[in-house]
Amino acid sequence: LPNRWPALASTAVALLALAACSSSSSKVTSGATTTGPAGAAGTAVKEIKIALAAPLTGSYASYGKPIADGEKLAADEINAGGGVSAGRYRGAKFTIVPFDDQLDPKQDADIAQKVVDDAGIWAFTGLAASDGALSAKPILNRAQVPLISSYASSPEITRDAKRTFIIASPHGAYAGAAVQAAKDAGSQSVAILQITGAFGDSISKLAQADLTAKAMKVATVQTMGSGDANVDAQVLAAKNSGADTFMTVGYASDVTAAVTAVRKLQWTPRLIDAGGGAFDPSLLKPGIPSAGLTGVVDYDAASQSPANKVLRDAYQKAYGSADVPPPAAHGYETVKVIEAALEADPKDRAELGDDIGKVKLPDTGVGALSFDAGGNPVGRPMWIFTVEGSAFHFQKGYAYDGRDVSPLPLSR
Amino acid sequence: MDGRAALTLLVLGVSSGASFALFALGYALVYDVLGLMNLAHGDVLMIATFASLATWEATGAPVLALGAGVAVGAVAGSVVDQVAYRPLRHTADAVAPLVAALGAALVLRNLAAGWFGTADRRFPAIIPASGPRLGDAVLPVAAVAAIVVSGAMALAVRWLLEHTRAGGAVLAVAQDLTAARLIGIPVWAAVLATYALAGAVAAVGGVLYASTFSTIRLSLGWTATVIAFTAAVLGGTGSLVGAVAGGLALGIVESFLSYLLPSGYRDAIAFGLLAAVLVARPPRGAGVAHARSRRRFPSVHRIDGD
Repeated sequence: LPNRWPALASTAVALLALAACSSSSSKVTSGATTTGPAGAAGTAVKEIKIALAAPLTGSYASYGKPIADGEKLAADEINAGGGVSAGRYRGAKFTIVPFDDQLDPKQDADIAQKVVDDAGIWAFTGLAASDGALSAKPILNRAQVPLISSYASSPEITRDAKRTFIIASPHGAYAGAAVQAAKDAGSQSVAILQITGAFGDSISKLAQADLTAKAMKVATVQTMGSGDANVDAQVLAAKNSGADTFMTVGYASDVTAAVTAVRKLQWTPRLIDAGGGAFDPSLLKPGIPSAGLTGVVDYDAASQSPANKVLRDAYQKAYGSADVPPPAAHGYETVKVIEAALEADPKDRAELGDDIGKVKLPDTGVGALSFDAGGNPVGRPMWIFTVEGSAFHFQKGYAYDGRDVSPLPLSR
Repeated sequence: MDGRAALTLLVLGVSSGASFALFALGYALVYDVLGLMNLAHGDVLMIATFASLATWEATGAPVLALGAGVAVGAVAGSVVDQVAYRPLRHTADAVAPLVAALGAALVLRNLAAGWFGTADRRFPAIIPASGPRLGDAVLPVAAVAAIVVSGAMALAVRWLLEHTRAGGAVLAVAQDLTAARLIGIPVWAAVLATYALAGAVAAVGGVLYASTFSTIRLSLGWTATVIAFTAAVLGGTGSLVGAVAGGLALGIVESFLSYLLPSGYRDAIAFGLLAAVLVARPPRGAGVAHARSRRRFPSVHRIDGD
């Protein structure tokens, strides 16, 4: 037989290389600027193209596709009403240009460069993961192209950035609400299982700070790769830390893996998810041991506000369900914000970014929306719910104001 | 770490290692018998596991679901051979089969995406996880059975290769395709049987893995290939029994590392371990096929540097 050692070694190297380089590197154009897609003075603009980058296929499509659905709903609604309603862009119709980023930050960088290079696109939106937003941010900022992160909401996204905005509640709101839920439930010692990456790191660190500030002990912080099905050992470490509460920070599949391991190890802690992953229909499926899980979310889908009724009706008509997923609601808001900013007659992408920062919408369906000077949404409530039977039961609402949380009236 | 935690981690490691052992056994079968690194192995496993899930959803019958997985694994493995590897059987280029394998893996992944969707799927306990509780975890009887059966299968295959005419024929194919054909051995049947068996074994491993962790996703294909390759190398490339032992060891090592280290280091250490084993203990090319075929077919033995 031939000596297989060289082939074995080359295969091992190939495996390592493939694992490390799953995507092509991004091209960064430094110092690029944009004159914007408004065209020459006096030319009527008939189309407003918006780039959407999100995981439209694959394991995280349950986050990306709703963002796209929400943006499309808003675009269809605006277009059906005759397009942009006021200003020099009056009558212009929205076109969403989708890019499937597969939740890969490298792809987001590539997409950002494409958007910069395409002067016909007004803004970069979408994003289900903070890593992706952080990857796209420098490219877009240099070119003065507005970045609106519809769902990812790490505070790092808007830090030291211009024309960069977060639509969903910032991570501090998620962490603050989850810690408050732990305190209300009488927790004294909390073990955290977080996914690696900007999303997990950010909420986990904020939660740890909040737990300490509220005189609760951080028993241990365990990490997992998002999508890991086997987290038995990490959960065992959490159990052995002596914690009375187990807090997860991850996507729905990560929360599912965690609660499955908790039950497998016959551990009965208080279960709290701080990352928003628990508010996912997959957690309600038979066989998922999620009963008793407490979660936090920044959108009350059952709100009876007029704008939310419009959103729910449109979603029902388009997708056959009135249960609007939070990413869809935030995608819907994203396009509404851009439309409102266009009414201020920005002459290019840079000015559009400036105008987005000044938008104040009384109700987008999620609630009132405006931004602070840093591009973060202000005054958005957080909702705490529990998983009981096959439904989410909303328990409390909290306003987020810096590090302070306080009860709000429930919407239902 | 106290004794109870160590026992629990050992049980958890055995539980996942049983699946890894089956992943590795299927992979090692092809490598041992045909000398090919089947990088599509994990995707054969993945598509078979999805087929098992689809059958379970349609019928609710666990035995039927497992059987369907095994059948699809066997067929998919054979088809991959016929479509991707067979045309390259006589090429002297060592890289071409690897590229074909990667291409076959991508095709299988896209077929699975088209048939079963790209979303993660909840996987039922087609293979139950019941058994005695040791420490904080249950030691699944099915996992122990899988290890015993895969070990026995490895020994049986080894025995068949060494002591039967059919096994000798397979070894002859492994050693010199042209010579084997010239002396009247039905090469296609030997090769096809190997791929079919490897695919069937992998399917059982896939269903066991998905049952253990209650979920399945498309990326299982790539994950399983890496696990199978790593386990086969750890167990000593060229040994079917070693591959089973390597899979079991990998499960246990991973369990303890996950407990002791942040997850970011886990993959690095697993790959580091793989690299260290490859460097420190390069395969001697002395697997079943090699050692025995040299004895049986001295006239076609090649000097391979060991």
